[in-house]
Formats: sequence, structure tokens, C-alpha cells
Amino acid sequence: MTGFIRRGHELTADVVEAPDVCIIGSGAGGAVTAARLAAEGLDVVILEYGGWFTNQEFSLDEAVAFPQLYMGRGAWSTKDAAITILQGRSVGGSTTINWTTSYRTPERILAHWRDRHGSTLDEATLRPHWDAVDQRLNISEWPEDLANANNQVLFRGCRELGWQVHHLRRNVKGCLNSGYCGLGCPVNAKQAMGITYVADAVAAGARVYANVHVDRLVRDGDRISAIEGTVLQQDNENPTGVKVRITPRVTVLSAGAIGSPGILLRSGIDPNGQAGKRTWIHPVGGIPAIFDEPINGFHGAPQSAASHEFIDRGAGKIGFFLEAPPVQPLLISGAHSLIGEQQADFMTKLPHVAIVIALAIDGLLDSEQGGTVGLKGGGVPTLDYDVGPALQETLAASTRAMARIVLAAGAREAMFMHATGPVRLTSEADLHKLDGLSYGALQHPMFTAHVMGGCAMGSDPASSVVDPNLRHHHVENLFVVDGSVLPTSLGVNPSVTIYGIAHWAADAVAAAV
Amino acid sequence: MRRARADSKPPTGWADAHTVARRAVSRCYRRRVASRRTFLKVGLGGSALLALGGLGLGLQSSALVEPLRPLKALSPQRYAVLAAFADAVLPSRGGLPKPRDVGVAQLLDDTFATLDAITVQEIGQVLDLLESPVAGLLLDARTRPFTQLDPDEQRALVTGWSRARIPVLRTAFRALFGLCGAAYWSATQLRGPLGYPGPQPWLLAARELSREQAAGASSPSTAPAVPGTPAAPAVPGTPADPADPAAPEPTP
Repeated sequence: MTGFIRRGHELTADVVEAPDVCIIGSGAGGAVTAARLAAEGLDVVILEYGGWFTNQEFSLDEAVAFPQLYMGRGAWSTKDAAITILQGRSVGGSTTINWTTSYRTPERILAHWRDRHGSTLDEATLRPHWDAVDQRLNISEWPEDLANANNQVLFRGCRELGWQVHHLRRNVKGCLNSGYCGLGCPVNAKQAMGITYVADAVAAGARVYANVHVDRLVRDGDRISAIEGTVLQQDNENPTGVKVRITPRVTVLSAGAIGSPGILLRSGIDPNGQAGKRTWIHPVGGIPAIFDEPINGFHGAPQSAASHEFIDRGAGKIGFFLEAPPVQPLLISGAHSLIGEQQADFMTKLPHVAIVIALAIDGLLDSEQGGTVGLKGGGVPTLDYDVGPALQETLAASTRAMARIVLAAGAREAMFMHATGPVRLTSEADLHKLDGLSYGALQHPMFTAHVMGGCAMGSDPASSVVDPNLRHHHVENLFVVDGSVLPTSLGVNPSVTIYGIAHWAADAVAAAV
Repeated sequence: MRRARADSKPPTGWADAHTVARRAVSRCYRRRVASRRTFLKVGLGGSALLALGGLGLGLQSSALVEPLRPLKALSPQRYAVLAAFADAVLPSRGGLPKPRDVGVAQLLDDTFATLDAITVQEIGQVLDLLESPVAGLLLDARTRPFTQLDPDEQRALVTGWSRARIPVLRTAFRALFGLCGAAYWSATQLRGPLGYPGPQPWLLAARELSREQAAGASSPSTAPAVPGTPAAPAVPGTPADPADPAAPEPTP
């Protein structure tokens, strides 16, 4: 069968298909799974909620790109609006808009999963899959001398303090170091799913239907008998009137850590009450700093440096890792709560602003519950995330660490954007100003770009959604293959973990057909 | 005998009426919601407090503003509240375009028209809460709608919400603040004041080159049904922007 990608407006008649496998979602999990299954000769259909945009169609204008390529049209957050959620929605999912940082899963995390969650994954099992992914996505070293000035701040500050810092690996080929990873790579240098594994799957006969909202999985006993969906307009949530009904032998849910549990809940498939529980987000706080010299952090690869100095802070404490974001106007407009003149003063210094971010490694403490995905009216999934005391302590510690980094790197002024007003620091002598502040939800800006968990893999059906081979505990022809199966967060950017797990899990999915 | 409490004396004026109202809200808040954490979990959607926003909206008229073009998602009243909020939080100094000149509320109306109805309804409730004189009486000691306050009063009010003790007010502030900031600062006319040049001209040239290469090299054997997926172009000698420290480097 000839493969294709169809946009919603191109579908004029109801879509009725009976493939071997239907994969819901075309991001890091769904695309890799689809390519492997299609390569084995299986008949594959992919349903993608978002649209399909080529590099020629990516707008490099944030005002256009965010509505096109991000969940919630770029206006998505946790239920209390405290934490902005950056998650992709287009063919390629979040890989279309991620910042390309590529880490394999740390062994200490895999060991934690084996010890505490009944996972069977270890480095030796995943290594051949990661090697294959590395080759397909050209994941390779990104030398430090290509780092932009914003990332050089992180390198320099850490070294001044004697802290660990390292350069990164990235999934790029022919990267021009422009800085527009987050808006869709304009020259296809980023090896995102749309131009790699999705294209491979299509070349092998897979059919991709974009702009399809999956309304529900139809459960018949211990099997999924059908997937019902609605075709949406490319530019809004309005239905075109075309319906989708897929009756696959096996269904793979790869809609991400909010979408996948959302579909299970919308379909009434939650026999043990675990769908959407224990959702992890690497909660992110940041410190902007003003430098005398130009930083121009809006250009250049968004991420070239990271520090793992604080990933293990001892028993009972949540670790964090340090990275840098792109310093582009829309993103930075949410990195403060400044009003009026103060906002003008800060934003118009944009070329001189550097930012360090700290990502908390949530999910490893027994006391943590994580976030919960639920449904609001109309079946729209929403994430409720409580920033508890352990995370508040981490946010306080990471804020202090970030301030020290930018000051050590030579910042004229570091700014902690607290809700009660900006806290300005010009030297280490000012660090005491960070003491005694309240940290956490709605106390200062926070965001997440890594949504994980919610359909955890595990050996115990009472505390997980899928088994160690990613098959649903209670539905035999349903697999979940995406970031939602992670039992905890990772302490590193998650894309390569998801690629590797999907590449590995495809064998189990194929065997179930 | 029940001990007399200082707050049980009858109100004698506007300030006392407001104090009593605040205490009523506070008691209601304590009774109906067990803890701050529980209240936070209510979020934007289901908050009982948001229901206040529906009260009293018709008692005093809002100061409406003329939209630049027909509204797609907001009512004229909600549009006016959003425009006033944008004016209150965004910069107003010389050298920067005014939020109304950028059309912040209009841009957000366009965005809301692309969202699901439930989310738009939640945003509408927040705008109603901001405008309602009944909510204003209870929360902010005012009897006039938000759109009828003078600019200094509006800015003071939203500043208060940004650090309010009642979490849902901070939630409301954060939601509207994020929307307005994103719409304003991502507008192309802000690039000059920001010192943000936008995409480098050589990057746009490289994209155009990749399109031409794809057209020239298209082969039926390479995923013919997936348009626009050429390999990354080789762009030798891509012109560097001397003002840009992150000008293109050869790929390692």
C-alpha cells in the first residue's frame, strides 16, 4: 500500500481503515514504533492530533509558530496556570520543536526503575536500539566552541565555581546554528520525526492522518475493537465534519504524557485508577541576568551546555540539572511578572539577557505524588501539578545555584522574578536576599518542556498502567509507547529515552499482531 | 457567654462594609475549602470564586472599546476587560507601541477562536471576575467595574492580584498576564525596541536554497508522498552576519 501524510482539510470522506496497527501520535514514541513496524511489513496507520508542516511552512515568527506547533496553541499550562507547558502538537510531536539535546537514560535511573517499579530495562538491552537511533538521527557531539554566548555563560560560571559542566549531543545534520529549533527547523537540519522516522514509515507504506482528534478507544472485553476520531480544521479545534473509524488488530497509544492518559480516561479505560497518576515534569525555574556585553541569546543553538553538579543532593532531597533556554521574545515574556515600566526596562535589554534554567528531577522520592492528568469539560485533558515542600526546597537551592553561576560568569545583575517583586543581585554578598522567600507555584515563573509518566510501566498492575513490555495490564491488544510510560523523571532531556524505548518495544508490538 | 468579637460590630460606612464582606469571603473560603492546597487544585475551571464574576455584571456598564475588526470569540464586554488588563500590565512609555496599537486584545481574540470552547469559557470567567463590581466589592474594595477605573487604579489592582493571598487571583493574573505578554512582545513591531533582529537573512536564504534543491533533486523513490522533506542543505560559505555572534559555523 502506498504511504502518505494527509492533512485534515484534504480528507473529504470518512476515514475507515483496518490496519495491523494504529498508532495514536507521531512524536518520539509513535514515529519510531511506526517506522520499525512498517519496515517489518506490517500495515500501519498513524493518527496525529496536530497539523503537518514542512520546513518551508515553519514560520520563524513566534506569534505564528506557537499556535501552529504547540499544544494549547502555545497557551498551555498546569490547571492553576502556575507552570507553562511547552509540548509539541504536529506531525513529529515535540521533536518538531524541541531544542535537540540528546541524552541516553542514566543507568542510575534505569536501576531505580528495575528496583522500584519492576522494569526490565537496562543499558545493555537498550544500547543496540540507541545505537540505531543515533545513526538514523545523526546524534553526535556538539562541540563547545559552537555554543552561543548564553550557553557560554553556563560553561564559564560553572567553571569559575569549580562545578561540573559539559557540552551536549544533538540530533542535527548540517546545523547552521541559527537558534530556531523551537519554531521548527527551517532547513531540516534537526532530525525531527517528521523528516526521519515518520518519513521512513510512510516510505514503507504507513498512512498518516493529521488533524485527527481521537475521541475514544472502543473497548470490547479485554480488547480495543475500534478507534473513533474527528477530523479537525488545521487552524482551530472545529471539526470538518469528517469522522475517523479505525479497527486495528493492535493499538499503540503514543499521544504523550498528557494525551495518552487523557485518551484512556476519555475512553473509560482506567480499571485500577492509575491512568494519569504520577506525572512528572522536570519543573523548571530560571534566573535571567543582565550582562554589559551583548549575549544575543535569541540566536545560536538553544542548548549547548549542561551541568549535572546537583543531580544527587543526598537522601530526602530532589536533585536538579542546569541548562540554558533560547532567549526569544515570546518565551522570555513569560519569564517574569514585571508590570509596566519594570517590564519595559527588562524586555528592552533582551540582547544583553542571559538565562540559566534549573530542572528538578521529580519522581525519585517515595514521598512524591507528582502531577495528575484529569479531564475537564468536553473531555479536554488537563494537568494538575502540586509543587510540594520537597520541590520548594529544591527550587530555593537551584535559584541560589543559578544566581551564583551568572554572577560568577560576570553578570552585572542577576534577577529572581519573584511575584512580590524582582530580587536583584549584583554579587555573592546579595545571595542572602534569596533567603526567606516563598518558592513554588505562583510564587515565580515556572515552566516544563518534559512531560513524563501518567501511564507508568511496571510489574504491579495496582501501581502501573502498562506491563514491563508496555502492554496495557488489562487490554491485551493495547500498548502505550511514549514518555507517559516512564515511572519517574530522568534527570536528562527525555527524547532519546523515548526513541530507545520505542525502538525496543516495537518487537513486542509486532509480536502481538 | 459568647465572647464579643471586634469584627462583630455593625458596619458604619463603606470601609466597614468592605471589611465585613472580606471576612464573609474569608469565612466562606475557610469553610468551603479545607486548605490552601485544595483550593489551588480547584484551578481556573471550577473555582466557586469565579462564579462571583457572573454577579453584578449588568449593574454598571463596562467602558467598551471599539475592536479593530469583528470579534471572533470574545463578547464586547470581555474584549474591553482584556484590553484594559493589557494596558494595565504592559508598558506604556514612549518609544514602545501601546498595547492597543499592537492590537493585543484583538490578537488574543483571534487565538481564542482557535481554542476549545471550555478553555475559552474559563478565560471568559476570569475576565468577568475582573470586571464584576460584586467581586470587586468583596475582593478589592471597589464598586466600579475594572474598565471604569482610572489607569493607576487598574494597575494597582492587577499588581495586587499578582501577589494576592487568595491563590485563584494569582492564577487569574498569571493566566491573563502570560497571554498579554506573549501577544505583545511577539509582535513584529516590537522587534526594534527589543533589539531582536528576528531570523537571520542568511537563514531565510538557506531555506530557500533547500527548497530549490529539493525541487531539483526530487526522486520518486524517496518518500514521494511526504512533501518538503529534503536532506539538510549544504550551504557552503553562508554569509555570516557580522553583528551576530552566533553566525553559522561549519557543522562538525
